[in-house]
Amino acid sequence: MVPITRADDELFSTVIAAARLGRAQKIVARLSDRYGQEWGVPMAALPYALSMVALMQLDLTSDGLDEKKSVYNYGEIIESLGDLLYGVPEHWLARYLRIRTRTMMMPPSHAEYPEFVVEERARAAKDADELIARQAGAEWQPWFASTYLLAARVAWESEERDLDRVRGLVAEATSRPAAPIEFPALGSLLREPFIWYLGQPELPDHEAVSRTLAALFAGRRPVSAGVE
Amino acid sequence: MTAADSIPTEDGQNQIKEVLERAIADADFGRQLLDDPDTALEGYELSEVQLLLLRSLDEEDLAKLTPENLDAYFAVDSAVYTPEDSAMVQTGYELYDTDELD
Repeated sequence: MVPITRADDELFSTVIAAARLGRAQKIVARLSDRYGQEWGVPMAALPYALSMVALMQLDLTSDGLDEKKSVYNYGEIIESLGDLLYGVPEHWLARYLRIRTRTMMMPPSHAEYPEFVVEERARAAKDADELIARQAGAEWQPWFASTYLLAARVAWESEERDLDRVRGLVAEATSRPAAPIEFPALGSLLREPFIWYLGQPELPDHEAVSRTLAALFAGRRPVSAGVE
Repeated sequence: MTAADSIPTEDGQNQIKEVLERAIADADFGRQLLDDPDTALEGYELSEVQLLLLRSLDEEDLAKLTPENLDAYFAVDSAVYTPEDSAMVQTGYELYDTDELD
């Protein structure tokens, strides 16, 4: 399993800062060029994919979603992560981000294509199963817990709404060692499934999820009263 | 050094912020950063992407920077979903409720 690195976190935070300074386009263009030039090198896709994820994140958390831009970003993120995972299927962050993108970041206009949406959900579920299987063969890392919570979201938002499966996934996430995740920028993405989960009153084990969230993301800004 | 294969130092994430803080506090350094970034950045361990950002700045950018807004630019937690953002994400995904799509 290829772990998250400080370089990944640094790149993500730099693109976010650059976007706030109005200087992200040049960086993203450079990373896009390199991705195009080094098409046969799977890892060349990562900086570009991460920069696009950063831009999409900022769009969502600042001025709201620009539909046209989000459709383009979505396609670029999925394609570049796919290229990376084709060559390096054990890349944890790439697979996590692909699940996340398909689960949470689908542009609203895609609702006009229901078959596509259903297929994307199915792909996210398959990716989640694969990431969980790959994690099982690797030494436990604190951020692995986020996979289980994201998989719980995928399961809960599927047609089956399998509560037993959700309960099992949460048990896996909350029964493991929960040391603080030392990636401040990417940690913002890894927290999301916990935040989502705690916003679902019908789901069980909120207390255990809250404890794990607090342990993994110690010292981070509370997300809402009673969540952390 | 490329972003993909660079191994930043423990402080790597703050180095770019340190450069900008220095550019705000020290006008000569700020000028040098604009005129001769290679020399200005000697001794700093910066990734390719950080260098790209610093080299793309112009006089107007530096003039706008303050210690306060620099903190905001580099505050990673402000890119975290707030409860409102979280609600937005949830609402967005509910658009694809399969019951409605049938």
